[in-house]
Order: sequence, then C-alpha cells, then structure tokens
Amino acid sequence: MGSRLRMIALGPQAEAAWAEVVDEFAAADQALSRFRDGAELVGLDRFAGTGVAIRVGRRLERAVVTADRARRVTGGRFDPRILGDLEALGEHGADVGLETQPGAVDDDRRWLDEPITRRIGRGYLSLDRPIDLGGLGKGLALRWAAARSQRLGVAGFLIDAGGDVVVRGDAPDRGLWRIGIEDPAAPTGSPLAVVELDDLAIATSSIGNRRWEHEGRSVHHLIDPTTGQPAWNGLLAVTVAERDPAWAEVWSKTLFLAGGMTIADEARRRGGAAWWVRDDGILEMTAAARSSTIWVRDEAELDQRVGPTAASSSPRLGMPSRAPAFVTASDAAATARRAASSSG
Amino acid sequence: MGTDTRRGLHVGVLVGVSTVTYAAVLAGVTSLQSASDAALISARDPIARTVASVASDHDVLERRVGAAADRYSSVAGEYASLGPAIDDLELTLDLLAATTRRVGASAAQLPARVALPSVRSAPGRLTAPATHAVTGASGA
Repeated sequence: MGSRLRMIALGPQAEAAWAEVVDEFAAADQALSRFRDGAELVGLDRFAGTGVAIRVGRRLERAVVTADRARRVTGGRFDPRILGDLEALGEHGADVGLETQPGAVDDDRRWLDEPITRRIGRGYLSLDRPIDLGGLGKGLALRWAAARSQRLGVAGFLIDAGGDVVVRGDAPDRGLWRIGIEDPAAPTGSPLAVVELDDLAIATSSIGNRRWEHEGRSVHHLIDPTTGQPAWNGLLAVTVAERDPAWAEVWSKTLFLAGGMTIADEARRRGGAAWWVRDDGILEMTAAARSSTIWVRDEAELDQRVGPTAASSSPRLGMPSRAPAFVTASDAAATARRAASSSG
Repeated sequence: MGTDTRRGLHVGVLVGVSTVTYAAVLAGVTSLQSASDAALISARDPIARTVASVASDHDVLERRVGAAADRYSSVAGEYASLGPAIDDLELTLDLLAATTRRVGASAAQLPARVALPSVRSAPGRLTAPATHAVTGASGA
C-alpha cells in the first residue's frame, strides 16, 4: 500500500504471523489501492456515476461500508469522495476515466449529504462518485492483519505500516509498547513525544509528507471534502490512539480537518487520546493522551534549561510572586523558547 | 203581595250570586298567591344552596386559619429559642473577622519574593526513550 511494513512479534509463531501480515497487506492492496491499475477499487471507481453495480470482494465491500459509516459518524468531515480533487491537484493514481464522469472534478458538492454507496445485495456495490480509501484502507489492513496474527496465538506483536501502528499483548521487555510521535517539521529527527500503548492502535494525519507544488502553490493530500481543497488550518499533524486502527485513521483525519482553532474543544468533547502539532511547532494533547505520554521533548528541554545551573543564572525562569497553580506542556515550551531566544 | 214575593226572591238571588262571585274571586286570588309563592321558593333555592356552601367553606377556612395560627405560634417559639445561638454565632464571626484582619496585616509585612537555595534536581532525560515504532506522516 505504498508504505513500509514492519512487525515485531514474540514467540514461536512470530514467523507465521509475519507471513500472515504480508499476505494480508498484499490482499488489501489488491482490493483497496487506487494506484494499482488492476485493483478492485479502481475497477469500481471506473463505473462510478453510471448506476452499474459491480461485484466486489469482502475486503472492498467492508472498506466502502466502513467509509460510509465514518462519514455519518463524523458528520461528513471524513469523506472518501475526494479522488477527483486529488487528481485535480496533481496526485494521480490509476486512470479511472474521471474526465468522462460528469461532475467528478468540479461540482457544487451537493452530494455531501448523500451516502457513498448503494448496496445492491450482498457483494454488489454502486458508487455515484469515485472514492479514495487512502489511510482508511491501510487502517483496515492493519485491523485484518492484527486479527490474523492474534488467531495464531502470538503473545505480543507490533505491526507498523508506514507510521500507522497497532500493538497487541506484551512488548519484548514484558512492558508496554513505546511509540514515538514524529516531529512533522523534522520527520527523521527526535520525536516530539513518546507514548506507551497497551492493546491499542495509533495513527497520524500529517502534512509533513505528501506535499507538492501545483500551479505555483503548495498543496497536500489532506483534503477538506466540503471545499475540495487542502486544509491549511493551523495544524501540522494530528495523532489519535484507538482500539481499532481503522478508526484511529478516521479520527486523526477528522480532527485534523477540525483545524487549530477548534481541535482542542472537539478532541475534548470526543474523549480519548489525541495529540496535535500546531503550525508553530507546539505539541498539545488531551488529558487521556497525557496520561499515556511518558516523555515530551519540549518538557525535557525545559527541564534541562531550569536545571541546577540555569535556575540561578536565569531570573526570568525564577518563581514569580504569584505562580500559576498549573502549567501546561505548551506553556512550559513557550517559556523555554522565550528563555532561549533571550539568552541567544 | 206578589211583588214583595219576587223582591225577596231577587234579593236572595242577588245575595247568592254575590256570594258565589266573591267565592270565585277569592279562590282565584288564593290560587295566584299560591303560584307566586311557589315561584319565589323555586327562585330562592339556588341562593340557599350557595349560602350553605359558603358557610361550609367558611368553616373549613376558619379551621385552617386556626391551624396556621397554631403553627405560627410554634415556629415563633422555636425562633425565639434560636436567638441565643445566633448571638453566639455572630460573636464567633466577629472573632474570626478580627483574626482575619490580623493575618492580613501579618501577610502584608511578608516579602513578595523569597530567595530559595539552589536545589539539585534530576532533570528529565533530553533524549527520547527507546521506542518500538514511530507514528507520523506515512505517505499513504
């Protein structure tokens, strides 16, 4: 699915589990990819808008139904009917004949309230518009691969599909699995934070990758379905931990599209663990996320600055006469940045 | 003689007729009076019932007023018994206010900043702990 696949597994069934994972991702890629010319999804997309119902396999049927449920649950913010928008922005997959499909690219988007698919009996689907299952497809592949590994009785395993991760059971040291949250401004550098997961999945929607120039402007792959345009909304990345990897994908993208102004409120209302990086590089998170976060880079840097030597030489970081009772990670990071800029 | 006989007869007839007429008129008047009395009684009947109902309600109201008066007397007695306790509470509040004023005055004399000695802390590790994976931009 265009992603690096990796697995850590414990016990004698590890080799067999890896074979299952590879097989599952190959099958999911054959069913759900929009880049592979012979994929089932490409065939379905080619008949979008014609009213013709196509017989599809279980994986594609499951994926389309899940996508439609995600559209309903997220109030339409998650919507896979953005294939035309991605193609119009220059991210091309396999040819599905968009130019012959009326309204596939430029349209009034009145279809937003309509279901994604009409099921004509079990195993038959009909689309009004072509879809891109993208990250959701990868999340589903992770779900299915994890289920197959569990059926083999593997004591503990981690599957990493290009940054979307699912863990089950114990880590190799019999503790929890530790996952780093990538810095979208420096993907190969130190992570922004490290979290510990127990029987969870974690997914990130980020514009740190898949950005390109189109007609003189920078664009990326996280499309707002209401506008058909890339979402530049004050966020660089959103990470969500969920039991199910497919829904972790759905919520990371949905919260990303909420934008920097409202993501805190929406994430708090929704509950669960979510981390997000604002476009000024500040990492923020929900209360549930904080409880599973064991290390935050900004906090570690602040600890270094206000250590034994810095405390006596930096009056700006001394205890004020009216100290706040509570300092958030972002406050601490901002303080550290101010201290660094004033000393540098 | 014959004339006297007829006169007597005429007088008798006249007296008889007058008597009958009087009796008839008396009977008519009595009948009219009876009908009038019956109509009057019939017209006054609802008023009588209403008066009786008002009297009954008045009795109920009187009983309630009596009960409320009893309750008021009881509450007034209890309130009167609380008087000393309220006085004690007010006295305690006055003492508390005086103590608060003294604490405020003492606090105002404290320095706004206190120089704390340097403390050797154990700063958090600058490098990230080892991880099993990293989540981030996937490219898919």
